[in-house]
Amino acid sequence: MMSIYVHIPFCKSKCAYCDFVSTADTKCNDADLVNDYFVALLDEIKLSATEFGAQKNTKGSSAKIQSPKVNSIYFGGGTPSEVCVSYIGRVLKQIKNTFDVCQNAEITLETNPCSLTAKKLTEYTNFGINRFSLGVQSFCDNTLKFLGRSHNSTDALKALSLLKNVRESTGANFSVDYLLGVPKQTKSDIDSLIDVVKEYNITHVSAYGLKIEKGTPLYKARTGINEDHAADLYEYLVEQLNDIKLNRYEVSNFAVSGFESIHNLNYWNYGNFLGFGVSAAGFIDGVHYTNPKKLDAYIAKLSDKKLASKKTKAPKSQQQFEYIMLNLRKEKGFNYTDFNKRFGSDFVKTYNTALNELSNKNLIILTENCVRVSPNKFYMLNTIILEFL
Amino acid sequence: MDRISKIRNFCIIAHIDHGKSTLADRIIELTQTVAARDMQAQLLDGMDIERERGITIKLQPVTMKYNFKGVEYTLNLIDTPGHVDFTYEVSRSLAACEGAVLVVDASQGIEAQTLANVYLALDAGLEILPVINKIDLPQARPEEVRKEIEDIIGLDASLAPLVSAKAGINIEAIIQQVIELTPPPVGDENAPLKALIFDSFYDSHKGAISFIRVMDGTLKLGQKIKMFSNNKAYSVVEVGVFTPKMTSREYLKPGDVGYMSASIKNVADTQVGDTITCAANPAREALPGYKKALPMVFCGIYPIDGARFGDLRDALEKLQLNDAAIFFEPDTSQALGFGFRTGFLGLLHMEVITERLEREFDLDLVVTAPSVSYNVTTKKGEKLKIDNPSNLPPSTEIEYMEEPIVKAFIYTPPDYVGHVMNLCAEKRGEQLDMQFLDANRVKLTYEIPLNEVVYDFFDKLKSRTRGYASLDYEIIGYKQSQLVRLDMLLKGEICDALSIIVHKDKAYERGRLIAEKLREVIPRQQFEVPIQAVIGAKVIARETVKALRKDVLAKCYGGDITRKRKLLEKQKEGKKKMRQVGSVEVPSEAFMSILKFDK
Repeated sequence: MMSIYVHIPFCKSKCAYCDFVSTADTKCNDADLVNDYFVALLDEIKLSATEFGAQKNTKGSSAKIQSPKVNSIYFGGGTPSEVCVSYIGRVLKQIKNTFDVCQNAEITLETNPCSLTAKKLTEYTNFGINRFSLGVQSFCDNTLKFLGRSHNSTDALKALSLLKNVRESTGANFSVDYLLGVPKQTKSDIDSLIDVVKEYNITHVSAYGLKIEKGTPLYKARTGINEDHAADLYEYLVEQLNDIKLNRYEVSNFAVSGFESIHNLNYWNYGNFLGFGVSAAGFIDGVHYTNPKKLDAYIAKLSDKKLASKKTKAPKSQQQFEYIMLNLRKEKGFNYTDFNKRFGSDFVKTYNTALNELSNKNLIILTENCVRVSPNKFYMLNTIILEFL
Repeated sequence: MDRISKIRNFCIIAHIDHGKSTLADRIIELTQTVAARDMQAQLLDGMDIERERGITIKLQPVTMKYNFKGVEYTLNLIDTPGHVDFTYEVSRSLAACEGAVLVVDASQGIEAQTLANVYLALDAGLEILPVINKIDLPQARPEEVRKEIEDIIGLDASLAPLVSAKAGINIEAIIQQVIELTPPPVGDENAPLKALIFDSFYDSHKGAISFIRVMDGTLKLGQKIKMFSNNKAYSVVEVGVFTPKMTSREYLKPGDVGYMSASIKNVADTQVGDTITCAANPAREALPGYKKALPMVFCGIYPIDGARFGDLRDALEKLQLNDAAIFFEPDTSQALGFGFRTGFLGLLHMEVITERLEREFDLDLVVTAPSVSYNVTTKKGEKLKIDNPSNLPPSTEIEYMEEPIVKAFIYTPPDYVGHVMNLCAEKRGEQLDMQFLDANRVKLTYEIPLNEVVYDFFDKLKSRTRGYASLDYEIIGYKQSQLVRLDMLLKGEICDALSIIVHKDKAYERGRLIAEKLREVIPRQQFEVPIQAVIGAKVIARETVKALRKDVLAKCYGGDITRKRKLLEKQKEGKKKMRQVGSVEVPSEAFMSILKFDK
């Protein structure tokens, strides 16, 4: 099994905290550039088939290599819903032609409230998209303004109604993204989120801490994040969501049981995934792939019909650490017999000192074959993971 | 003309940046002592750090030949260090000369350092030849500076050559004045040997090599000699002169400047200022002025990586071979582990040595706040010398304490006199004198505790006078003072490496500042960390580092894996540099950051 991530770097406007690779409005309207990008993207998907030996088993073919099955596809950005719908359809078609995509694969598209229309949503679902992730971030207009978002809370509610309708008619589900720790954010902001989750029967919420990245407008404005403020809000959110049956299954992700994101879980399980598009990353059997961060470099490379990614083989010790680092993000932690099988080593023996110290401090819970972070110690995850490095 | 009448021994004295080293280079060039292709700018400053900082610490003499009016003269140029920490070394190299070229910057005029060294040279009875340098600069005001030299120092500057060492203007005039105005040395080559050691360095093949000036008698190859200070006897293995390479000779006679090696294993046995005499026929008394180098500023030095304690010891031993003024002994700190208590002549000396340890020996160090040496008299009548705050007995056992006092000379433009006086008052200074030297210059004389000077006095003086003021000081003795030990508690445990001895009236403010600083530099931990500043059992300041609560809520998706791992690896590196104080992790920088306050 593996996942595929597709990066769409176009946005109407750039948010004040965003450091993802994306281009703001003028370029989004630059039809030539968008077209060039999708040409390159389609080429990359085609070329990667040879690279990863993932030829599709066509009927009656005698392909020797069994291609890995794809069980999730994720369009992220940028704002994938800002570009012409047909581009998304072509990409998805190319992926399905190139790889063995499972019938019931989870196919997610990131959207923002302003760019959604009923017509667009129908088209997306016709392509096979069955999950939407809506970037709400907040239901407080002042906060949205501060973040430089192009929408307000009314726009968000309109978009949620559209999504709810689509869910009723097609079964395509949706999730909302929320930001924690924005200056002046209060618990009542979270209460509004909870009300909305209840009202629209939302089954999945991702809540990330606002991080001030270098080079962003918020960084330049010297915005300070108060860790305690963020942590207070986080704890309150965990509690509130838990009350309405959205359980934390990863540090920042909450879902009604059975609605966890397959795509994201695959990252935290340290599974294989391919990344397409500018700045996208992939990971296949211990090798990290990274595409160029600059749009023109990415397009130029692919116009020579060459894959643009840089490969780095992770040594076993690094893989082991990455495995732990990601798997401990999950509420359930991981089963270390799986770790032992994967790396041919003895987890408990290898990390004996760290495990003893961490469990003595009640930071982790160690059972016969599982290790996980103590539920109320998630805010110290980095400190915990460091002990394994 | 006899041999000795054709010798001139001189040095160059100048304020830092006034162009001493460049002038020395020009003189060497002009006498063709070094082939042009071997000239490297500022030849005499041997070490990298000296060259980078533009200061001279080590003295490296050079012997030159120069033909003047048909006579070939031997000129010995002895370079001098240019910083307050090295006053004693300066005085000893001056004692090896008969003349001093005084370099004054044509735009900046006379500064404290210049004056301090001029007085030393006058005390040593040297003929002083003023030279006005940097006349090629647009802001040069040579005639005003000439008058300044006459007014402030009282020297006749009417003959002072106007030169530019950088541009090579009028250098010959300096050499000719040295020959015409500096008296030749006097000495009796048949008298018992007296040779002054004015520096030494360690050579891994030859052992300690002494830089010497022969005053009386003859120093010969193979001769049995002894040191006056400790009566140790040696056989001379090599004598010679600096051209500027070491060039061996059969003997050195009165007036000669050169070097000697005698299989001496340690530079501590060739102390600067000591007198070498003949073992068989010793001189009756030593040359005057010898003092054992006494460290005045102390600090703890610890390797960040505890496993490198042995390397640190080896490095200190190597540096000590070359610098008898470095003192060190093993020391253990609960917070910092095994390290050394080290003593230095002054702050600059301390900075230079710690920098050399890090640079030349590739060590990462924690250096604790500098301290001075206190005299403690206990109630039982014991007299103790305490240079490590941790060793101070409890206050109940102390009858009284004394701290070292310096006489500080500060030169400042009149506009800043108020600022300087305020600063000195803040630093417990007592004004002794104030002189308006001319329209642009005031000389303030203060008595200030050395304890305050080593803290941040110089930095503050510079910032409050926009860099215009200059400072020189000399230690004048000890005075009784109300001193207390200020301890820092982290989660209830004393962190010994953060203890300081401070005046009672300053303790509250210092305690508060250190506590605030620590709150900034100690990262949040798994539990709350109270920081307390205490004197004995009394808490005078308190801060808290709150428990760590989050650092994990950021997204972690596919593309972030490598980034996230690298971030954690960086954190891990930082953690390695942490010190454990009880259960609290303290970054190494914390121990040093308390030395510097921006306020």
